[in-house]
Amino acid sequence: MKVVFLRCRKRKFTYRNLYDSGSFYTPVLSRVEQLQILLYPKTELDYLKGFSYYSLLFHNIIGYNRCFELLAKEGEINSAYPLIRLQADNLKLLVAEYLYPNRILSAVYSKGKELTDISIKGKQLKQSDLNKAVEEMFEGYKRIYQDYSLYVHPSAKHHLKWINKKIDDNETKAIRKAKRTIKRSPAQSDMIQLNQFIEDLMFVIYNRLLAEIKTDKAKFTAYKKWELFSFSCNENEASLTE
Amino acid sequence: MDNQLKLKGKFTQRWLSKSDEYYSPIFTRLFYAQYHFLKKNPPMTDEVLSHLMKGDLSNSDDEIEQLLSPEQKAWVIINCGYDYFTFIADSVNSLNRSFNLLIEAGELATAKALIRLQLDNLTYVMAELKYPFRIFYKVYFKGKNLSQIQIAGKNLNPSEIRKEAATKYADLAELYSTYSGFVHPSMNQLQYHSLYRKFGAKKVTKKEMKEVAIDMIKVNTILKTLLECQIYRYKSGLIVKEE
Repeated sequence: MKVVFLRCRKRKFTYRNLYDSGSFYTPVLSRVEQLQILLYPKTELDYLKGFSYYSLLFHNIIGYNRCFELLAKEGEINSAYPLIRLQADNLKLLVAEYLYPNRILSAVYSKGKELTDISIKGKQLKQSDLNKAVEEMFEGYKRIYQDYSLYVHPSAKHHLKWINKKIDDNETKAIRKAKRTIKRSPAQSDMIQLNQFIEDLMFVIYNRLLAEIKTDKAKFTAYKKWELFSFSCNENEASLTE
Repeated sequence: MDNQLKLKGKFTQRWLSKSDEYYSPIFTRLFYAQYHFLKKNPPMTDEVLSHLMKGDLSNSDDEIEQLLSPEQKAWVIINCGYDYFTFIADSVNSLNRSFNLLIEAGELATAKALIRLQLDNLTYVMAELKYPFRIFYKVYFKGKNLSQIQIAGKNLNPSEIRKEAATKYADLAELYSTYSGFVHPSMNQLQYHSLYRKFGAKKVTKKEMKEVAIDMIKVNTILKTLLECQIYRYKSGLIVKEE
């Protein structure tokens, strides 16, 4: 049987990827992790060989996607909507790691720091600056972040949609619909949009690491070997992953 | 007495999925306690109330709002058939049900994040109970955060409210600091990721579910105690209408 090599290519995150986003992210995530470990061996987790801090972040991202779908399908929008804001926080963390490579995830996950506790060139990071940076990279992030922040704490957004006359009627309709079914609701679209941002950013990180490893011939060869070993499969398997 | 209205005793794990059933008698009692408290000291004449409810006063919404005291606003709301706690009850019940759904699905790290959201609800309830009729109105009708609400010219400090409550409920401070780590990406989440990996399956055992549910039960127990104390305070006349 013919052996096929699965290339890493950017894909569109769709509704059907929400429940099982793990398989969607695996191609780019595992490559980024391998590149990261080859280039910066210190970022490999002591207690989980072959994995880096990216794995921990993505465990969260994938978990939130699954839980969002699970809760929203049950009509639990009060609990499902805050997860969109938490996912936006994960994107912010990934952007911070992209802007300051190897400084953020390790500080958060190994030293127990929060984003605002981390200093870069003597200056502490600010949430507002990071939010601005994310919005510059991904238009629409700010709107999602602000909209769903209101679901994290008790607020008018929670319940009064259908009581307060001043609130936009289309939004009221969307929430009422979400109570019945999350399918194709604006909230689901926003969660998908965030995931698309994450996928796009992972590709930027992947390309940067790939360019970096190409400067070191030995490491690049090691990476190519690993990639060939990990992403080669027979034709039947390849058609399944497509 | 109708079974629906009977108090259910201790909050245990089985009530997580039937949170509505558990809290319904408590919130109903709280509604009537508030109703009778406000009725004893009628904040406004029936004539003004009926005009307000029909919306046929010539004043604008803002003018009416400035004219009414917090108790008067609450009286209008109560005469519409619901109180401010109706909104928070919806959120409390939803979080309990969702928490149960998530632990049953093995999603422990995300389930723990919901405990922190429930703790937020608890903070708001504590503030409302401390300053009756003054908090939820501003939160739900004016879109304000707890820290943006002014009492006697000073902005409220949520951490102060929690500190004050922690003197009565020793676990509260620890619970809040522990579960903040589940809302923001942090090390706290890790043990539950690795725990999840160790299970190798989505189903967690009953014992593990119980271990994770203990803190959510603690939060609900504090909430229940607070609400019941408030009902008692209304009934016994310990709360005096502020002029």
